[in-house]
Amino acid sequence: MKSVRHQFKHWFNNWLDKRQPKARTVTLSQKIIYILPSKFGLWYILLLILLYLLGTNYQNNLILLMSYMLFSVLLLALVLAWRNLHGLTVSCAPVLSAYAEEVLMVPVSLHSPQPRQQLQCNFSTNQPPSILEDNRQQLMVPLPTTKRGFLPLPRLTVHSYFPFGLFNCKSLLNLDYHYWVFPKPLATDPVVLNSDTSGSKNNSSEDFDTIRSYQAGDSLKLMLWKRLARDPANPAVKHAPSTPQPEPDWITIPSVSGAALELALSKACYLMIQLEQRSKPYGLRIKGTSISPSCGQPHLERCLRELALC
Amino acid sequence: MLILLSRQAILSFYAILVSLIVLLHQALPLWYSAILLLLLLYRWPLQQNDKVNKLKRVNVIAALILLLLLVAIKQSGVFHFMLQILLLSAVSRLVLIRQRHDSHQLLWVLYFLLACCFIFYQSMLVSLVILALLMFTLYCHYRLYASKQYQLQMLQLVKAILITLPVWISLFLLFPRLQPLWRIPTAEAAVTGLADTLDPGSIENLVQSDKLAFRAIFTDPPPPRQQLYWRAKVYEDFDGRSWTVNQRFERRQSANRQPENTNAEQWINYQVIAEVSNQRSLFALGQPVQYASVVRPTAAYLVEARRPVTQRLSYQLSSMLTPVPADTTFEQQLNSRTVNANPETRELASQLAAKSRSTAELIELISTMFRQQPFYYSLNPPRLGANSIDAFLFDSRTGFCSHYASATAVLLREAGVAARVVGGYQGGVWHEEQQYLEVRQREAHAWVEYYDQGSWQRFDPTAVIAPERVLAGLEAVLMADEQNQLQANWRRFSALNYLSQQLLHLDYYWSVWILSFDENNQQNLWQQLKAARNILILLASVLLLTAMIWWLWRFRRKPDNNAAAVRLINKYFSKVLSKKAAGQHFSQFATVLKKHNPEYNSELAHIDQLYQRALFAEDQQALVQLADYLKQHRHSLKKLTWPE
Repeated sequence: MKSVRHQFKHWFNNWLDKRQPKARTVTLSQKIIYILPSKFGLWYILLLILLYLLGTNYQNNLILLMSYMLFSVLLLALVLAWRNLHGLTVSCAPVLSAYAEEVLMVPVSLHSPQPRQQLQCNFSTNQPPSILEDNRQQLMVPLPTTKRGFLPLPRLTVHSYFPFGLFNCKSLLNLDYHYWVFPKPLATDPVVLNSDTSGSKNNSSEDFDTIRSYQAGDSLKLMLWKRLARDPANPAVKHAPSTPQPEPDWITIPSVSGAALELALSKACYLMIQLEQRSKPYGLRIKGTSISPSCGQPHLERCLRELALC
Repeated sequence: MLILLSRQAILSFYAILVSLIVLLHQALPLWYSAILLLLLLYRWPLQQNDKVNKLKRVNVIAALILLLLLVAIKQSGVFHFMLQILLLSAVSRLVLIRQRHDSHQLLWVLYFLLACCFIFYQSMLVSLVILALLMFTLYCHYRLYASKQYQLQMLQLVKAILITLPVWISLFLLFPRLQPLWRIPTAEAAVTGLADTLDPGSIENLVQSDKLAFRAIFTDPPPPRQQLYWRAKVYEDFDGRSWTVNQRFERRQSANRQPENTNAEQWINYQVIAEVSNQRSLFALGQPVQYASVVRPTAAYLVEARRPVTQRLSYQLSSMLTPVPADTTFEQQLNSRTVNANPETRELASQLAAKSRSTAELIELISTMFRQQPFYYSLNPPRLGANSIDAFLFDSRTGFCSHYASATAVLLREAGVAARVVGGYQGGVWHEEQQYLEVRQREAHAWVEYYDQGSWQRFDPTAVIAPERVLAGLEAVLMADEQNQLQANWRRFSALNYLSQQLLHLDYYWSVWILSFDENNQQNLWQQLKAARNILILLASVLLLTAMIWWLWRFRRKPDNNAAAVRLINKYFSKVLSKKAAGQHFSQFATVLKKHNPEYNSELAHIDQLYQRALFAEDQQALVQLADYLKQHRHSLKKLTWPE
């Protein structure tokens, strides 16, 4: 039973892929809009049948008229539901990352020349959909993450119950984006960070007396804001050439596997974040590759990606 | 997903539900309507507080009310019971409603109840009110799923109607209709029109009502007024004072009687649209020979509906204006019975019988008596005692049609001629422009049928005493104060009178075109469509062809990949844009234009600014402004010139 379901799911995914190949930007066309009656829609159809029977049994033309009218409203709802989605252009922010077991908020943009109503997006059915507010073109769609890695974005469901809630007009979009899931940070004993007590003393900003131009990775705490206001083209930071560079920390991932590896990665992740917050340089040794010690957001990102792919 | 209903939506549902309770008041006992309204007040004020125990409380209240309804089910009947339960469920749902999801059941029930209103009302005005209520419900339903800020726009509404209307109308005209699938419970309701008992005073009361009884449409010119005797009931049992319908009319007549001389040229074909009377008896002229499926023949050549007329009923009939033949031999015997009352009448009858040699002569003698002796025709005859015929013939001598008919029938029976009283309508108002006959309760009438020469001859004593009654209608006979008695106060204003008459005409068209559209009309329509098949096919193919050409043309045109702002500029600057150099961007182009058209300097600068903002900063507002601005200045933009 389970395998049949699995097979069906597989076949369905293939079928969807055939209809809509992966793309960075998708414009909703007739081919990829699916309209299904909602539960209320089915009840509504039952109402139409009941009214027809009532009108027939009482030989009452007015009830028949009303039943036909509600039927034409049903058709109108079908057309309006389709028009609400048709021609909508959907895209996504390029680089996304989150720590495992966090909810990644994916910014999805829905562009269209005409105003659209009550559009909803979600990645999985058990997640509550986010609703596009009026006059906005972007919305954040939650995506729960579980496993670390570099993962393709799952199918995005763009759907709407507009108008009348009789139909669920939807499109299952395969957007060609990937997102990073870093290991979940796990607090470790502070012993490892002992070495930074001496450094923190040196780091207090009063000790910086000279100025050098800003380099990528410099702490914003050291930025000369007043100077930046005068000369925005050449940012500068306080610099203390006399103070010795603090000893770089090397974070080494032992060559284990399974749960032990995950634990080590989580701890390493926590450590890196802590070091980054203190602006202490750190390096990463992992499975033969090593990243030389440095500091700053791009460096952190690079190390975390290494952890994610490990 | 939790989407709360707005206060406005809840209030709208309140309004709809209260109007439904008012509309369906016929199905609800008064106490029940009061309970429903009180239950609705339970929600006041509309604050959406989260007290969950309310649910329990409302459930208990609803269960109690349900018990009360079950107790009262005998009185109300199954159909009314269903309506009561639906209303109860709608009200209790509305009292607790908080989320959008909850409104589904409510809307479903509201739609159903709105349809049920049409069982009670079919007149045009009330139907339009119900239709308006339906539209309002649909609008509320739409608002639930539309964006809050988004206002319904006229243009969209018109487009929506353009989509729905053809579907709606063609479904009504062409979708197959079925016969009733099963017997439906009918509700008990007050009977209107002629009753099964004819008292000396019953017709006088009836004619004071201005209500419509039925309308008739003739395929040929209508027969003269004095021929329009619409038979509805035959009274054969006499107890000395009042007449009642014999029990044989309750048995169903199975034999399909075909007249011997079926000369179709003498037939009168007509359609009758009967108003609600809650009884079976219908109206027919003379001897009906052909029946529509909704009616069936009954004893004494009357017609009746298959079930009590609880909504307007339209039926087709063909009649011959000849005396009605004898139904059974037993019938004659039935109508010769006399009762031991009215001794003076009996004496008079034997005198008259002795004087006459034939039945025709006897009738002539009775007519002469009414004509020569001081008999009066009045809407307000004095009350008569137990021997009502004696009191009328020898004492008061003032009576209405039922008095004359009753006295004549008794005289004939006492003289040995089988006779009976027939109740129905006489005449009606013919509307020449609209081509229909309007018959009101005002035209209620009673006359006599006596058996002679193998058939039941009609004799109307009223035609003897007050011939204008038959020739011109009741108003012509009555005194001025009696006429006033007939007219409701407001009817005396001629403007209102005119208006109500126009409304009645509209109502007539409504009944003919909408209420009485049936399978026959549908079949005719299909046949007409079949006859016009070639033209229709041609029309359809032309439409299809144009659609295809349009489709092709749309797809062959290259898709315009330019941004909206660029497209706007291309549209409005089409004349001068062709002169623009290939590498020139719009700002440069605008500068050149400004130089040559200094009078439009500020406009061009403004357009340029909006264009830049719309295109490069992707400012949606600027784009809208640009579109508006260009549209406003489209005439001056056409005057722009380019240096040669």
